[in-house]
Amino acid sequence: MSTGISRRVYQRLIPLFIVSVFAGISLIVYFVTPSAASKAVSGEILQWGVVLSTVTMIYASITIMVMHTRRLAERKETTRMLFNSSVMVGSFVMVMAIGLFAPGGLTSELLEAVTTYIFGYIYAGILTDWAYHPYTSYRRFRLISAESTVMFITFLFTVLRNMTAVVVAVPGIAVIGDWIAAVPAMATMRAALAAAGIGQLVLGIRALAQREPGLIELEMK
Amino acid sequence: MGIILLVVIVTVMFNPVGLPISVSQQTQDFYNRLIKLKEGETVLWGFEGAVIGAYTEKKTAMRAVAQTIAKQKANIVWVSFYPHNPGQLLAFIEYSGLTKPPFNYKYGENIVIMPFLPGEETAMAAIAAGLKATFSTDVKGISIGDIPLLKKVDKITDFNLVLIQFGIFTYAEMFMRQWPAKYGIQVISMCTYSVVAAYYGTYVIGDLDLVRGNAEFEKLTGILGEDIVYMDIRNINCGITLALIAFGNIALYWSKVKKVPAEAKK
Repeated sequence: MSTGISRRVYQRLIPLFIVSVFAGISLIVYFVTPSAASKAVSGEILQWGVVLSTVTMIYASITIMVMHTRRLAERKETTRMLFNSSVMVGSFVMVMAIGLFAPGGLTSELLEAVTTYIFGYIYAGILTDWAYHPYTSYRRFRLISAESTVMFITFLFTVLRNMTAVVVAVPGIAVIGDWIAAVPAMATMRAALAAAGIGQLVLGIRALAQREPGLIELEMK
Repeated sequence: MGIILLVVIVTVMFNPVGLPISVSQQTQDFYNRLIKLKEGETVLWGFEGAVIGAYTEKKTAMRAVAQTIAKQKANIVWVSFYPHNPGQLLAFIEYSGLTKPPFNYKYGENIVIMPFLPGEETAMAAIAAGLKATFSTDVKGISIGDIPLLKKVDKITDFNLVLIQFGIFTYAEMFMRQWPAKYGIQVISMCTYSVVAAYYGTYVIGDLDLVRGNAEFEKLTGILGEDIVYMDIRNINCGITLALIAFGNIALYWSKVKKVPAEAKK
C-alpha cells in the first residue's frame, strides 16, 4: 500500500493551487484602486513571476534535453528522429559551451557569430519556403463556395494593401485594406482572445475542483 | 510555380526594379513622432526578437529608426525578452553607426542595453514598474548605479517615448496591458498593423507595418536599406500570385463549362 503523496497532488493540485492564489491576487489588485499595500503585493508577485518564469525555462530545457538524450541512448526511433535529436543535443551543447566558457558569455563575439552566420542563415534558408506559400494560396483559393469567395476577397484587398506600387496607383486600396485590419480582423482576434481567456479561467477552476482530466491521468493509466 | 517565384526573388534581389513606394499614414505618424523628440530625451525601446534570424531581416529598418532618433540627439534604452536579443543589440549598435561620426554616441551616456528578462508579460510589467528594482546591472555587467543615462530614467513614465518592436502577435496585447493601458502613455510600434489597429489613435500613435512599413520609412528618411528591395520583391511576387489565382479560377470554371455540354450529349 502506497503511503506517499499522490502524483496528482504534487504534480498538479499543489502547483495549480499556488498559481490560482497568485492569479486571484493579481486579478483583485488589477481592479481595486492602487494603494501602497496593493502596489507592494503586485510588485512582489511580479518579482516572483520573473523567478518562476526563469525556473520554468530551465526546467523545460532540461526536460527537452533529457527526452532527446534518452532517445539517442535507446535508439528505438527512426533514423530521421535520431538525426533530429542529435542535432538538437549537439546545438544545445555547443551554445552552452560558448555561453559558459567564451569570454563575454551571452554577449560574446563567438556567440554573435554563431547566431548570425549559422542560425541566421539557416533561418533565411527556411524563409525561402515562403516561395511556396503563394503556391498554396493558388491551390486553395478556388472560388467554389461563399466562404472561399469571402476569404479570397479579404485576401485580395489585404495583399493589394501591402503592394505599395498598387497603392500609389489606386490610393483607395489603402483605406479598404486598413479597414479590414482595423475592424473585421481585430473583431475576430478579440473574440478568439476573449473565448480563450474565459476558457482558461473555467479550465483552471475545473482543474482545482479536480473535475478536469489531464496528462497526469493519461500517464498514470 | 514555386520555382518561378524563387527565380523572380533572386533576380530582383540582385537587380532591384525600383517600383514606387507610397508612404502610409501609420508610417508618417511614426516618423512625425520621432522627429518631435528633443535633445536629451530618452526612448525606451522594447525589443522582442524571438526568431533568431528575424533580426537579420529587420536590422536595416532598425538602423533607420535608430539614426532618426540619433539625429534628434535623443537617448535610447533597450530592453529585450529573449536570451539572444541583448547580443544582437550589442552588434546592432556597431551596425547602426550610432557610435561613429556624425552621431558619436557613447555607451552608458546615450545608449544602454539591459539584460534579457524572462517572463514575457511579467517581464514587461516589471520593467515598467522600474528598471532599478528589476535589474542590478546592464548587459555588460556595469552596475545600474554607475550608468549615467539610468540616473535620469527608471519607471516607464520617466521616458519621453516608448517604442515597441515585436513579431509574435500575442505580444501586442501584453504590451498594451502592461505599458500604455496601465500607465496612460502612448507608444509607437514596429509590428504588423493589424495587431495594433484596434488601439491605433489611443495607445498606439505610429506603426511600421513590417516589410511595407520598414520600406516606407527607409524611403521617407532616405536611410535606404534592404527593405526597399524586399518591397520590390513583394510587389512583383504578389502580382504574380494574384494573377495565377485568377488564371487558376478561370481555368477551373472553363473546365466545368466544357464538361456540362459533354454530359448533356450523353
